[in-house]
Amino acid sequence: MLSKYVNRLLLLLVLPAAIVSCNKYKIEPNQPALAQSLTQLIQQTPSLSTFNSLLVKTGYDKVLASSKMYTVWAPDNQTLAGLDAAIVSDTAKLKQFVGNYVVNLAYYTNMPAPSIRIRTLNGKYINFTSTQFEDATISTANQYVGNGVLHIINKIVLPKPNVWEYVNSTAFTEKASILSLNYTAIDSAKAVQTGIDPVTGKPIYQPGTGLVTKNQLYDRVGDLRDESQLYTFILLTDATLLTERTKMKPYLKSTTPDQVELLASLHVIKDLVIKGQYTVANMPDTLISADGVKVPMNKTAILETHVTSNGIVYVMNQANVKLSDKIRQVKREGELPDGFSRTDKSGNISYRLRLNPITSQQFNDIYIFNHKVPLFNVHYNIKELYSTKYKVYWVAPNDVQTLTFKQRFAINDPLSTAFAETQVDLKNYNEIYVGDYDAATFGSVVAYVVAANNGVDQTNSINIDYFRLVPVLP
Amino acid sequence: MCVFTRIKIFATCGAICLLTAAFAQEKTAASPGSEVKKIVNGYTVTGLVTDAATHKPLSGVNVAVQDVAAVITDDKGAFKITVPSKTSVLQVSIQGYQYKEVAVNSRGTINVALYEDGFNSVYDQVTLPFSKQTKAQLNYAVSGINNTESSWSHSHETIDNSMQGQVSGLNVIRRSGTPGVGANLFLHGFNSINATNQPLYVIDGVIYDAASYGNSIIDGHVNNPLAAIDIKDIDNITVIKDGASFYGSRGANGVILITTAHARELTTRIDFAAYGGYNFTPKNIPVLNGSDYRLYLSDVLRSSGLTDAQIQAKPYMNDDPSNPTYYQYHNSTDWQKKTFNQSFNQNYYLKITGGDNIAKYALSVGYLKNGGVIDSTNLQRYSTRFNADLNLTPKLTANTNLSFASSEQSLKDQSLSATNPMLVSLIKAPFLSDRQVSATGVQSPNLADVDAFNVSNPAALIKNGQQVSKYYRFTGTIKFGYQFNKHHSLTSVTGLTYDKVRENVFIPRLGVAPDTLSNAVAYSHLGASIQRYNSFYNDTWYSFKQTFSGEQDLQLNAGFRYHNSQSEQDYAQGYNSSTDDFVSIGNGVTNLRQLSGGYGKWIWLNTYASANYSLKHKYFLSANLSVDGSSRFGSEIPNALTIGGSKYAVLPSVAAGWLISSEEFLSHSTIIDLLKLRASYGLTGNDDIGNFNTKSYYTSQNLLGAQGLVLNNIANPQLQWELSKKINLGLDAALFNERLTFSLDVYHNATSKMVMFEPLLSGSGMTSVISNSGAMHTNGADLSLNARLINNSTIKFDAGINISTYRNRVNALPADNMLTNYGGATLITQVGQPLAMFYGFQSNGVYSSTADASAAHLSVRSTDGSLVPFKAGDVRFTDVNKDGVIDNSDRMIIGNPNPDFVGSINGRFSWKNISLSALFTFSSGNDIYNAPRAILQSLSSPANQFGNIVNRWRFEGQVTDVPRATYGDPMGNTRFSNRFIEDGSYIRLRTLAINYNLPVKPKFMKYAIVYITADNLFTATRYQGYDPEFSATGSPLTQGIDTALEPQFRTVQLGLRIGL
Repeated sequence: MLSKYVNRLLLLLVLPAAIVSCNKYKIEPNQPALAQSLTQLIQQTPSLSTFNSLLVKTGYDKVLASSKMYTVWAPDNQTLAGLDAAIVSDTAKLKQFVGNYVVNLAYYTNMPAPSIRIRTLNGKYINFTSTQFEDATISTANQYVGNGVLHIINKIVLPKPNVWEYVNSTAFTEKASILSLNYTAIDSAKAVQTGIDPVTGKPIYQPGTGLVTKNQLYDRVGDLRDESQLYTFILLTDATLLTERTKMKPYLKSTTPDQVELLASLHVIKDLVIKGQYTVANMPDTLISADGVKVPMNKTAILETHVTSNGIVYVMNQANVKLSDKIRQVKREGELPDGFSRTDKSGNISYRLRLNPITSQQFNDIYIFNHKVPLFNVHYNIKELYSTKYKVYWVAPNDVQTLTFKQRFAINDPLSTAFAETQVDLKNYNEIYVGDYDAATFGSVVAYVVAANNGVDQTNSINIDYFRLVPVLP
Repeated sequence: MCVFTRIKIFATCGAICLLTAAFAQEKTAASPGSEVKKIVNGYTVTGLVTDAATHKPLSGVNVAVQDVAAVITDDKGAFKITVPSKTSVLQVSIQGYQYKEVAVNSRGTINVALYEDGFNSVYDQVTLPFSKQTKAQLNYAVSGINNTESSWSHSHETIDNSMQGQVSGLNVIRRSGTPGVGANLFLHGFNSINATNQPLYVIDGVIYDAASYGNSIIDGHVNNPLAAIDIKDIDNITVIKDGASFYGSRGANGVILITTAHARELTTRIDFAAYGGYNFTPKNIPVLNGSDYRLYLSDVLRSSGLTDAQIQAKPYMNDDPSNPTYYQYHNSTDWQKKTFNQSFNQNYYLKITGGDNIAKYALSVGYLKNGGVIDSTNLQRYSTRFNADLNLTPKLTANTNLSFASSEQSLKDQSLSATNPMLVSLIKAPFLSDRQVSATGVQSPNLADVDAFNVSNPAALIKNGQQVSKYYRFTGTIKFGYQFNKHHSLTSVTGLTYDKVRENVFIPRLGVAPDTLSNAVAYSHLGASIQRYNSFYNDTWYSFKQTFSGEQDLQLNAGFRYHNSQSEQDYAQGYNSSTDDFVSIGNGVTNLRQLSGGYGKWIWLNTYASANYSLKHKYFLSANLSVDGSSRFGSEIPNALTIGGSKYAVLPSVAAGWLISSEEFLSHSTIIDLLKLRASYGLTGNDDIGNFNTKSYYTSQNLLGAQGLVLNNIANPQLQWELSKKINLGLDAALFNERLTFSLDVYHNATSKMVMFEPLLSGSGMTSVISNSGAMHTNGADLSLNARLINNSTIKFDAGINISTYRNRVNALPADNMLTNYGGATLITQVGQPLAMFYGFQSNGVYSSTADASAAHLSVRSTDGSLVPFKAGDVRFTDVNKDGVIDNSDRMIIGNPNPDFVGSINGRFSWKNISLSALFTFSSGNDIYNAPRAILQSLSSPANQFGNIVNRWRFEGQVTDVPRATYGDPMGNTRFSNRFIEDGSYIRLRTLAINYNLPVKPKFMKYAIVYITADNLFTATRYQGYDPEFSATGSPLTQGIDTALEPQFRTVQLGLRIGL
């Protein structure tokens, strides 16, 4: 009899326990696909068996099974039948080939508007539109799984060389000119530090470490090997390049002929690299180089067009960049000086925002007053001054004083009297011709504006809205 | 001050008057001498007393008529007694059996079958403020709990927790699983919005203030004064549910009378008990595993605007083992396992009782150590109690109850705080380790610091964080009783309470995400707090008892109570100690240290009178009156009783009972043993209106370095007690010789003069003024039903059910509606609706495609005022006002935290020496806002997410119910909506206890009992948090909001009790 009650009791206890055991958490993927990885999906797709074998061969199958998001554009078996056997047999090339079809993160065909440029796992960039992967058409789109999305394409898309890889494969002298601009520098992040100089407090690096090769051209216009950038690069024929160099050389006078050659390489080629990709179809008449120089584009002078992974290379037999566009005036605003003859007069230096009552335009200038230092000066560094003759102009409004004063312009030596002292009239908002300067060599100079040689307030003021050096070109 | 003085004068006068009256009464009462009546027209009753289980006759049973006649049954269980009238009541009692009252009811032969002692009977005695009475004669809605046996098997519980499921109409919601933290008790629903809803505890005749004064500086913690009492020291508990006005303006939420155990017999008895228990960790909430989490991270980081290259450059995206950070980011850590830990309970208890006929004593000492399931948390308590009963003279008795308990509790922050290790463990990246990991994958013993997502290391919060609460409470009561004669007596109870909580907090800097203060970044946090509470209490009353001819009984009581309380909290918060080794408050940065506190002082005076009258033992009538004064009441309360310029609350109540089963027409019913109809109507009050709100006061304020005083409030001298009108109708029945008993109560509680924060125009300089401008009512019904299903000599099986339900409705508010926010939820309280309904947005799935989203034409308004349309993958919210913009005006009621019904099912099965009892508790139809899940399904930050985030919307056309990952959640997909409102219904095997009475030789010991107890063995619920039972605060405005408190957990305990 007892057992009967025990049984009833057990039933009473088990019943709620059975209710509890049903899982209340709906945490399983609500679609079978979300439980899969890309590797599994590709394995299970019969039309991708060849691509799958390439994935396995390169180890990318493990990558695509990992817990990161990927997008794969997989060429189907039929397409891959046409793959060059040389690629398949070369592991490195094959890895690069397969990596060209895989990108990080998930990209669906509704995302390009109209196209997206995405970095693939081999470091190259590809273009993805709602229907196309580079020039391949997407036949089956948006097959999602837990760690990404798969698109099937019908054309082999080989990884392209980049601009520099292409240029480096040619025999034009422009390639040699670029290479000549290489130099070695120390990258402190890569160098091994052995100590700290007790005197200067600067780190001491182990000799021979941290040496990196840099390039003056790349420093200036961007690295042509950078896959993330897009360039339009003009590769000049040897004769054209020589013409351009010859045109520039008189303005690049330097200490040694070698130096002149290097400067000529840099100053010609820097304007042959244009940021952005301009196809022939969307090419304007004139492009603007990274340095802001107008580069005329004569489509008829294009001999060859090469599409690379990070831009377009045009082989041209005409550059014809105007000298006046290259050698431009140097204008410096007075209120942006690089220093003063003394550092204790900041109380006497006023960076002003003033109104020109004649034009009703606002302007900024520098006004140094009541400093009581004879020959007080303000200086402005000018980085690159081509070797030619310049005319110097300035605007010095002198709009708050009751007295006029004199100030002198000087280059490199504040005590130089090559420029005469110039009278600064009251309320004169016009540009005044100050004098001429003949730059003997190409390079950097320091421009000074020097106060009168007295300590009397008002008469030893300095006032500069701006000054400019206008080259005198033939 | 003037008010207090008047109260004192009044109290003194009251006392003198009563004493004078009592002595005067003595003189007059003494003259009639002994009232032993000769039974003139006696009525003879014969009968048989048998054992209900074995049906064998019982000899030696005492059969008596109160104060009149008594006989003892013979060998065959037969008795013959002459009773005064046909309406007399026979009292049947014998050691080891239940006490029973049988109405003669014109019968000549009365057979009585008695159940064993401990049987849940309608004739059980319950303790009332002035006397003990059997339930059969009560006309109040009262439930009694006799704790004597069950408390030994639930030794690790607190009193408040142990009442769960025991009393119909009393909804006990445990605050959390933290040992000793106790429960919030709601008797018959809610009676107030801003004042307390907790019942009044009266222990051994003295009000035991169980409120926590001041706020704990440990997040999510509440100090529970009831934890200072060892449950094994409790003899019985009485719950007065209706408006009996026994405690006037403090009785609105019901009264719980607790009586501690005194010596029952003179022989020396020694009880020793030892227990050991094991606590199981809760089941994990499913969160994303390492790989699914990293896939989610890709999505959410991408939505934050990071480029592919930036995402791939993150250290956790690197899969090259030669990278120095590879091993740091390639772990598989179950953070919940790191946070929760199984723990052990211990409990030792020694009790010695005995004495002689002059003095009896009961001395008990106990040690308890309960582990929590959050790693490194526990509660240790030392308790002692000395209860003595002294017969000083034949007429003068004294009883003392002295108890001292001190506890030390190691805690961790809880609630929705960044330092709650439980919450942090849910959002912590699973691929990280709790230890530092070297570039070669070697794990260091040192704890890992804050991670790349600025999330703390839960292990650092647990191992190096310190949250300690030290608590002691002394309560001493002394009760003098002077029995002038059998009619007149005077009793005075005086109680003293000293209570102190000291808390220390330290949050380390290593491994914990820094917090931002208004003027600094807080790397480490130090805190210290002291809360004190002390009170003096006196209750003095005079009793008169008289039995008149014609079977009339009259009992009168009149007296006064005086309660003087003081509370104070002082705390200091400091930040940024120089290293994690400096953990005390003095080591914080000086100019970041903040000192604050609070002070309260209040006096309550209650003058009362009660009369109980019964006619022919079947008609009962009671009337009570209570006149209350309090330092909290305003001086200009309209229409209130004024004495000496002070305002008094006059709160009367009446109750009537009719014992139908004692009527002649039911005298020969074989089915009905007892049938009683009760009705009561009473006014009660709630004096929790703030100590100083009737006065205007100033607070210190710092303005640009100048210190000054500013007005802090607008005084409301009309502020009065909340008035609670209670109507209760009850039916008690016992059928089939008590094999089926039930009790049904229906009630209507109406609160008026409810204390509200009345909003003010901003021109007043204050946001609100406190006024009595609210009203609401609660209707409800309770049913408790018990049955003895099997009753024979070896097997007994009892089953019972308690079920209660209430419906609440707000009738008046200072404004149309009142919105309150708590734990991320918004609640609306509006006239005509139940209070505190969840008020948020209605969601209806997720837009699967762009076409789907644009067809809806819905937008949100961004901070710059522009409209941003919903996109595919966003949550489809209902545009209630059809203006095309989802904003606050589209909110609606989306859930009700009030249960449809709550209750319990209990069963007790005994076979020979073994008994098994089970208690199931349940709650049905209550909604819960799952705030932790709202954090875990926010999809808006790199925090780890709930398991179902694998189904988040990711591509055009995907049909799913989980929205897309959007960093920062600009569309408000995580806004307070019904997405996170869940059904909180549950049924739980609350307790399963097996007691085994070991057969022992009486030479060595009296008895030895083995207790095997399991708590929370299983819980059936659809709720997706750890546990559906929690109650962060006692306010009705915070119920049903899961604030990530320590969940209830399974405990099994083995105990042995030896009696010498």
